[in-house]
Amino acid sequence: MSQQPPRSRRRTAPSPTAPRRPSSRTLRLGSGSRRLTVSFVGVVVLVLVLGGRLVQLQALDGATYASAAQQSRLRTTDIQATRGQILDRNGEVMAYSVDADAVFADPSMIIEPFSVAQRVAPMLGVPVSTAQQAIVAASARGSRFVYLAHDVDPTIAEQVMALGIEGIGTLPEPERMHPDGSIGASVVGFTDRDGHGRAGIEQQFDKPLSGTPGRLTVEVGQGGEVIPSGVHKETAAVAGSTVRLTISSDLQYVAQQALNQAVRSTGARGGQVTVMDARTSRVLAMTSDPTYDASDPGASPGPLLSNPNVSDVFEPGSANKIITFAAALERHVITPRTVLNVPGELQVADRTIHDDWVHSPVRWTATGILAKSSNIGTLLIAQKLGPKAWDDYAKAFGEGSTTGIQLPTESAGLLPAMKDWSGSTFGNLPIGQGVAVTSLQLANMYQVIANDGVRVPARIVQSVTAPDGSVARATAPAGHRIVSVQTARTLQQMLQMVTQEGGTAPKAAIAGYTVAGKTGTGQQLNPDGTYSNSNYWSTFAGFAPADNPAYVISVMVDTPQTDYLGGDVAAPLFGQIMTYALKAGGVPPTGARPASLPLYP
Amino acid sequence: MTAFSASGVVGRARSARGRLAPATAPRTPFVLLILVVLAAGLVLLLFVNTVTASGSFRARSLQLRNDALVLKQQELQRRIQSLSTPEHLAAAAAALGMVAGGDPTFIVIGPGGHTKVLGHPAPATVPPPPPPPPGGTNR
Repeated sequence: MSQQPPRSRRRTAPSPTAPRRPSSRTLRLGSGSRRLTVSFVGVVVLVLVLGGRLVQLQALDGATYASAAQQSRLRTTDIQATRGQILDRNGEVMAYSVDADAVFADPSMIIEPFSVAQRVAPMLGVPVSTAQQAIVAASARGSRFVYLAHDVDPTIAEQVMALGIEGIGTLPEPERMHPDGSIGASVVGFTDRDGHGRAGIEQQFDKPLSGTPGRLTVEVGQGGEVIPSGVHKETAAVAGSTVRLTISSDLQYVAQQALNQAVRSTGARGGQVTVMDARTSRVLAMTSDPTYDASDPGASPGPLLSNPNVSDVFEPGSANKIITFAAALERHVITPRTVLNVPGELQVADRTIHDDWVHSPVRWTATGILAKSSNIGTLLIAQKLGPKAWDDYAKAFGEGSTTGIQLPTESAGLLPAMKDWSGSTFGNLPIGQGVAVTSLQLANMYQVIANDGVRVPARIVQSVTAPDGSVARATAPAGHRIVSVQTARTLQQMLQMVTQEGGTAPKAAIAGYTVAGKTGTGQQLNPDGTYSNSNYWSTFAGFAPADNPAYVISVMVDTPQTDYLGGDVAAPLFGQIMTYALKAGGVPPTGARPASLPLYP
Repeated sequence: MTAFSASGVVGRARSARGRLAPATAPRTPFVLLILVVLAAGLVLLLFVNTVTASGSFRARSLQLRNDALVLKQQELQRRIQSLSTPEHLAAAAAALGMVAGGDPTFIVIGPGGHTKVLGHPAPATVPPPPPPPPGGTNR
């Protein structure tokens, strides 16, 4: 506008004629109004465009942009669910979790690994050189993540972060504590760094133990500070359930100590002990040697990180004769006083069977055959019984099938199918060769006789308690009658003779109590498939008090060097653990007279 | 500028001055009002900031206290757990000179007060020193 007057003057100057002025003014006015119109239209278009854009942004896409804007202000973090505890039958804690952090480094952000390591390592209790090497090695790999320390106390982790070193960070990583260390480790199992169970109960009950993680969403300002009146959405974490076992940690400790001592004193390769309640089949102790420390499973070699009592099998040897005798009594093939002529050797198909000691033909009662553990006598009884009946009872006693206990990797043992039998197989199975069982299966077999003929599958979990306090009791498995009460009671008497003078296991006896059980000395296989004459599984399985059983214990010692007979190695261990179990369980002697059955006619 | 347009502007200015002239007196209160509003806004802003900051200070101190208490509780729990393990109890009992008993023996007290001894009571024998624990640790 300010340029208008000069321009108009310039235009008017060349024309001296006055009448043109008004026309020129009209033109200017007209063009002025046109400019106005043009400007107006331009402004209107501009307003429309801007307004349209505004409507598009605010009304049409508004929600998207608003949420995008809010998203950039929102911060969502996971709230970790506390892992549930594992308790023993008395509520003693066998595994629990505490807060801890892992400290890591991002080598790509660290220029001087040594100075960083020098500042951080002493706080983490790690040698400076180790931390430095970890950073350098990860850097060489091109990795952007390397752990410097695990299980770091949260206060220490906070102090490390307060140093403000670039490339150092922390992650919450709850630490799993096993106060008992190696006691019950094979049952409880362990967890990996991510907090998931990798063995034992930790693995089997990983889901209920883990719980459900929660989420916390808050609105934060530019500096990351929480805006008090902003969005605050919290989904609480649901803590894991508590699993209560049927294990007694005291008995577990005693059994583990006794087994460890026996293994060391006999120079054995290892051993297994399983203790269960005679009536309910609840496992009270389950231990193997060697074992591992549940607090530090990484320190033990991989093969040890299992529960051999349920996953490894061995030949029960003469302990398997209980099936032959129970079946023969039940089918009325024998009575405890049936007299048999037992020769010095017996031909079965292509094999010649001997007893453990050389003897001339001798007359024994059936009880005598059991108490002396004569292979030949047992096979004579088995032949009277017949292979079909024997196989039926072996299956009924649980051989060849899992117990269904709440533990991972349970083995079904090994019972050859009848169609695969060779001519000599029936000369092996009744005396415990060519058949393999787990320590748990062996205990469960003797539980049948202890529980007056009713087999109850073994269980190890008592209840699962949800975080809201509701208790889910483990359902007691149904019992099945395998043999009559009469047969079971008779066998209880006969098995007592094993632990008396004249039997194979007087070392299993406990003063004041009646003890029933059976020894076994299973020959291990040589690499070429023949039976070894130097490597044995020394076993004993039994129960006490014999006339009103409270506990069943199976003991196996793998390759003892000093002695090898079940009666010398496994039986004393049985007596030792049973003595403690009876005392701790408050089981008084029944006062019943010890059984008195003739071994000879 | 043309006389036409100039006179128009002057006219408008004059008439405006004529209308505004009576309102000149109450201008000070208006300015004061604006100042008060500004000051109030500033104070309010300061207040909100302070509240926010004090809230986060409080949250921070409570968080620290909570962390410390959680750690203390965890530490105590850890101690209780390790002290109550069978392994530790056995060692503590042995340190007091206690030994495991022999064969189980029970005294049954009848309704009439008479007692009956079940089992064969015998004094406990001191066993050979127990072997070290099988690789177990108390953490």
